Amino acid sequence: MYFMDHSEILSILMPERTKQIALAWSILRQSHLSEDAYQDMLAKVLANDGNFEGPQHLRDWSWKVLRNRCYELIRRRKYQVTLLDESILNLVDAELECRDTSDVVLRADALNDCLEGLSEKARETIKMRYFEGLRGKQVAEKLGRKPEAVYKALQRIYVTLAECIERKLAALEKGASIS
Amino acid sequence: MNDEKFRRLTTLYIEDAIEASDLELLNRELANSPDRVRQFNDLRLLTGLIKEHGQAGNSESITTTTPLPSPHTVPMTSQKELLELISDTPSETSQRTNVITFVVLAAAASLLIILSWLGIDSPQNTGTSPIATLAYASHASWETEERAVGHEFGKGKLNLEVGLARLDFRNGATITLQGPAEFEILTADKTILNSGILTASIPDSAVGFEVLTPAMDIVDRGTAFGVSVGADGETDVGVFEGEVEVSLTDSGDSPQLVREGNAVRSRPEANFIHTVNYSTERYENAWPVTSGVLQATGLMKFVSPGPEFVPGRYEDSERILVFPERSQVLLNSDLRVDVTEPGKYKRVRRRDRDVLAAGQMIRSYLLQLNPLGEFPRKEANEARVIGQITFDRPILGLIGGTSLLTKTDELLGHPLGEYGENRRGIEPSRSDDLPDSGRDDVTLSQDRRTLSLDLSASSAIDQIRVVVSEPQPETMSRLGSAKTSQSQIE
Repeated sequence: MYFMDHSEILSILMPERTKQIALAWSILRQSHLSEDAYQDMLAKVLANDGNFEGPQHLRDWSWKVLRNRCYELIRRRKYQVTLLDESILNLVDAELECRDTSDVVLRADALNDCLEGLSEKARETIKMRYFEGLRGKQVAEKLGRKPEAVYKALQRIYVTLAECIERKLAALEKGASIS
Repeated sequence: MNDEKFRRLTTLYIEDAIEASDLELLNRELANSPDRVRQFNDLRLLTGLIKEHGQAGNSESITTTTPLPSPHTVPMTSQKELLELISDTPSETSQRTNVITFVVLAAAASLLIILSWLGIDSPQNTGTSPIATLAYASHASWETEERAVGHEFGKGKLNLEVGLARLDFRNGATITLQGPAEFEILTADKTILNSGILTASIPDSAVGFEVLTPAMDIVDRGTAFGVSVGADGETDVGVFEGEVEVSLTDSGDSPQLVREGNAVRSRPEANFIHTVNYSTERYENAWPVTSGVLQATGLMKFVSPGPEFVPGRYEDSERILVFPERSQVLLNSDLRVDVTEPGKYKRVRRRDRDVLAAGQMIRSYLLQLNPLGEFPRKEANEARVIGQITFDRPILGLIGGTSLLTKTDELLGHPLGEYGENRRGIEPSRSDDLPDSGRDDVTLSQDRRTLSLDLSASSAIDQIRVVVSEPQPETMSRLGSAKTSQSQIE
C-alpha cells in the first residue's frame, strides 16, 4: 500500500478514460448520466488515494467502481434500460477493459477529420444524439423521421466513421499526415 | 448471423431500442464468438471516442448555430494533451510540454476542487473547521444565545426553542430544524435529533449522513427525508426521495431499507419498526426551506415532498404549485432563457432571448397553474391567481415559452416528472397591451430573489421554469470542472 498523489492517479487513469466513458455510455445511454458516473468514480478514487497497492490495483478498482456506479444510477433513477445477460456483460466488459488504447490521440484526431467528412444531416444527428443529450426517439421527432430511420442512419454513420478512422490510421503508418 | 445484422442489433442495443427476441440473439452471438465480442466493443469504443473527443474538433462544423466555443472543449483538449504526454507520441515539442505541464496541474487542481465540492476533505482541511453554517432563520429563538445567519457551528448541542433554522453542512447536506427541537452535531456526517422536526436533503457528496434518534438510527443513502421526534421519543421517518436505512437504536440488528414515498415509526426500546402511511403534513413548513424556497405567499403552494408530487402527476386547479426540479446542475454550455433581468417579464422575440453563460452551477423549479376545465380568455369571470415566492439564492433566469420549456425538460426537469406535449408556458404582457389585458404578469424583484405572479387561467397550462444560482467556488466555474450535465440547449 502506498500513497499516490492525484496527478499520478490522473496520469494512470487518463488512458482508460475513453474506454470508461464508452462503458458508462453503453450502460446508461445518456450523455449527462455517463459523465456523472465517470466523475463520481473519479472522485471516489481520489478520495481513496492512500489505499492502492499500485497502478494495476488502481485501474482495476476504478473499473469496478464505475460499473457499480452506473448500475446504482439506474436503480436510483428507476429508469428502464435494456441490458445484456449478466454473464455476457461480464464477458464484453472484461474485453473492453483489456483493450490497448495507446493510440487514442491519433484516433481522436482521425475522428474529428472523419466527422467533418460526414453529410450535414449525419453531423446533425450525431450532434443531437451525443452533445444535446437527446435519445434516438427524440432525435427522430426533431428531424421529423421515424425512430427506425434514425437507428439505421446511426448504424451507417458508425460504419462510415470506423472505416474512415482505420483508413486514416493506415495512411499515417505509411507516413501521411492525419488530414 | 451475418455482419450486417450483427451491426444492426449492436446499434439498436446501444440505442436502447432492441426488442427482447433480438436481445436474446445478441446474447447468444456474443457468448459464442470472441470476434463478435471484439466487434461489439469496437462500436462501444467508437461511441466513447465520439462522446469524448467528437465535439472538440467540430465546434465549428457541427455546432454552427452556437457562436461561442463551448467551454466543454477545454477539458476535452486537456485530456487529449494529457494522453499525449502519457503515450509519449513523437509529436511532442518542448513548447507543448510546457502547455501540458500546465494542463496536468490545472487538471489536478480541478479534481481537487471537485473533491472539495463533493465534501471530501483533504488532510489539510480536517481538524477544527466549522461543520455547518446557519443559512436561514425564520422567527428562530435559541435556548442559549442569539445566532444570526452566517453563524458557524462545530460539534455540540443546539436547542431551537421556536421557528425554523436551516443549517448548511460543509459536505453539502442541508438540514432544516423546526422548533422546538433538540439537535446535536457529533461529526460532519453524524447528528442527533432528540426531539422536534427536521427535513434533510443529502447530495451524493454526503451519502452516509446519519441522524440518530431515541428510537431509530437513520442512515442516508443519497436522498431527502424528514424526521419527527415526539416528546416521548416516538420517531417518524418519511422518505421524500431516494432511500434511507433505519435500525432500532442500539439494537445491532440489520438495517431496514425505506424507499421514497414510504414512512416508518418506532418508539424507544421497542422491538419493531412499523411501516405507517406516508404523510408529509408535519414537514410542510421545513421542507420548502430545505429546498431553497424561503417564503411562498398568496395562492402559491409548495408541493409536498415525495414521488407522487412531481410535474404531471400532481395537480391543483386553484393554486400556483411550486415543484423543485433539479439541483446542482453545472451548465456545460450556454443556456437560453426568456428573461435574465429584474423587472416585468415582457414577451420577447426569439432572437432577443438571453443566455445564461456556461460554467454556472444552477438549480431549477417549475411554477405551474393548471386549472380544471377551460377558461376562455377575455371573459369577465376569467380566473386569476396571485402569489409571491422568495428563494434563498438569486434567480438567474426565467423560462416561460413552450419551446424553451420543452427543450430544457431533460436538463432541468424533475427526473420523475411527466411533462407531456401540451401547449404550456405563460402569456406575458406585450408593450402595446392595454391595462387589464388579461395576460400573465410576472415580475422579478431587483434583488432577484422574489418573483411575483398574477396568472390568468386559460386552456393552456401556465408554467414558468425558474433557474436559481447554486453556491459554487469561483475557481470551479473558471476551470469548468464539476459534476456536469452536458445537454446543449439552443
